[in-house]
Amino acid sequence: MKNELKQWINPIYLEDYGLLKKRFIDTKPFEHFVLNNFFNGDKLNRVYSALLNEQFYKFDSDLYSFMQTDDLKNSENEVINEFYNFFRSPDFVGYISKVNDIKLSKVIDMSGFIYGSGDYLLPHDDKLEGRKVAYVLNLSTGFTMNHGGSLDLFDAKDGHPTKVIKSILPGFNTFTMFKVVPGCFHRVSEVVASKKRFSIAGWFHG
Amino acid sequence: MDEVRYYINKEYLKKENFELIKKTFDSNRPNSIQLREILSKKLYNSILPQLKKIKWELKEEKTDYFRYSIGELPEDLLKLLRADFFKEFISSLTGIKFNGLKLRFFRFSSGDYTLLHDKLKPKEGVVLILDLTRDWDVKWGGQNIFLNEDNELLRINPLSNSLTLIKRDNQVKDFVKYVNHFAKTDRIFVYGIFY
Repeated sequence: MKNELKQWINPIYLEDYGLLKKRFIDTKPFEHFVLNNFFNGDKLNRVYSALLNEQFYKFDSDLYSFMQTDDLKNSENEVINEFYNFFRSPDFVGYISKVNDIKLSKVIDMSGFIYGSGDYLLPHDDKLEGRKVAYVLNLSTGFTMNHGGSLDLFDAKDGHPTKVIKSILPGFNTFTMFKVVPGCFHRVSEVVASKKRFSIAGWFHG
Repeated sequence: MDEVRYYINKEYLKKENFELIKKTFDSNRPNSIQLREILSKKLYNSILPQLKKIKWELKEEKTDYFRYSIGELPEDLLKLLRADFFKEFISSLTGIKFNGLKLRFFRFSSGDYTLLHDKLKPKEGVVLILDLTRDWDVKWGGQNIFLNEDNELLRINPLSNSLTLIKRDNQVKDFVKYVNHFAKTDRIFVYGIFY
């Protein structure tokens, strides 16, 4: 077992990959994993504190409203660098590749996000060249269904989203990922409370 | 048909005012203008209570494209917008001869929006937005935003009893910004295109 993986990831997620998929995969409305307490708590707390010191910029379009950092590969913070380097290490990318049963390259995207009250990401399916696995690492606490900010996964018909089949509440150290496939429609529901939803999110490429 | 003229604020029927707005339309880029207090007080006041009785139909079959409600236009408003007089009024103002007019009556409430997508084929012509939204705060979203590629060209903030006209080609897309939970009222407007 690779040493770095053991340092960063909760051991229950490092068992036999075949079992992991069986135990944790959810296939409705499309294949995804919601892994609670995924990372080492202490290490993640440090990453979270470091993230709060990054510069966030307002992003606003027809599809979304939120704050986002530059790609964290450009961060000058040691703690963020350490996390980023682990995340794109051959060991971790190999792990993600095995668990999702998909070939991945060395390329990753990673940014910090803040959704404040009134912020949202409307339904879409991540169609873009090269994106193979989408992931969100949630860093917020205290969110209930009434607060908004959930990652909602849609059923689809004739190439359009229909009903929300699954709502994933943001919870500290919950790691969600799914393969980018046609029709993997999802959104972040509008935050309707005076709360901030923090996350680190992006894609693995292939 | 003469009676339809008086549905419009008579200030806009005066020659000197009309010449001024024509000039303004031509000088803006893109060619556009917002006419405030467009409907006569009489018509506007008669329409307002009718808005409460409209049967809105929620459209959410393609939430990757839009979510909004549509309704039937109040009769007098439809009469005005379909009148030859109105077509000529807009024609003179914009300097363009039109073949037809497409109209839709929209309501955008909290959670509603439209999205830009690849299948969108903007129709060339003059877009008209007749706004009946009262007391809107721009912090709530709901604006009509026009863009060319990634460049924002125009942003129309809801203003009750205003008529905004925008000349656009098929490269200019537009969307309605998501209406967030802060909205205390609904965005209601007629969206038309003279083509």
